Amino acid sequence: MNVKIEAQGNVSVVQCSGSLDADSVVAFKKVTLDLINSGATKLVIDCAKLTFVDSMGLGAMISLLRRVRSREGDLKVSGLTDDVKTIFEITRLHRLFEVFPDAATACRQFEKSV
Amino acid sequence: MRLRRVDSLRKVFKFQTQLTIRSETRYLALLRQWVAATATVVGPRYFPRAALRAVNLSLIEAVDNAIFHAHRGHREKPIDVGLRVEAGRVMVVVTDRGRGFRQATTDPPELLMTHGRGLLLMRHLMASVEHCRRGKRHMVRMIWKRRVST
Repeated sequence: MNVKIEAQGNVSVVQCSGSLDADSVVAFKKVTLDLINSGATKLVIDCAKLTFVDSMGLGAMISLLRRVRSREGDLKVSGLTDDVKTIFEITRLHRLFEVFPDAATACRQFEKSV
Repeated sequence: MRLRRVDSLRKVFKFQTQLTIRSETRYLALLRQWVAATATVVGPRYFPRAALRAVNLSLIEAVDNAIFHAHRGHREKPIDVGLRVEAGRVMVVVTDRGRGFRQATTDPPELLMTHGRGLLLMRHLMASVEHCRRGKRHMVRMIWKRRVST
């Protein structure tokens, strides 16, 4: 799995590619924890290139959401592929996360809510 | 009529492979590649894309369970994984040497809970999920079945 961070104004876009599973979840947690500790509170997880996610990957995303919200920030999700979208729907996480078709739309939503 | 045709094909076609891995998450990618390679070898007639998606995730969830709950960090403990393709169905068997499958509820957990979705996913994606103990081994058997239109 590769994780890249891109700043879009005051929003941090976490671009995930490959697999977010039990093997890669430690790296994902480290990168995102460093990001939050640096002061980021508005995050978008862009899943456009995420090909696989398991329940531990989902748990890491939920953990990140809780952490961001505890600092009065928010996290949005964008670009779910059909496979990942199905997993979100089975686990009902589409009701927990705000999901947008792409990262740019998710970033604009942060601007609207200011 | 179609049901009968699938039953007759089942007697003819069978493809079976088996792997043994250590209890380490670095083998998860290998397992997914193994499933994908098997699907390629037998072809979409016997291993359609819908089965690939379901089997891939269910297998990884079962192996995650073996690594983290059954073997609890004992990396040297082996996990046996079997994949059997027959006409109209794909069977996955995961065997560990641990204390077995936690009979957790399959109800979705509270949305903000970080755990408890593995079994839910397996039961949703596969036609059946069964587990049993044989001596010191614990086995999870999952079956994906092609939906037959009438």
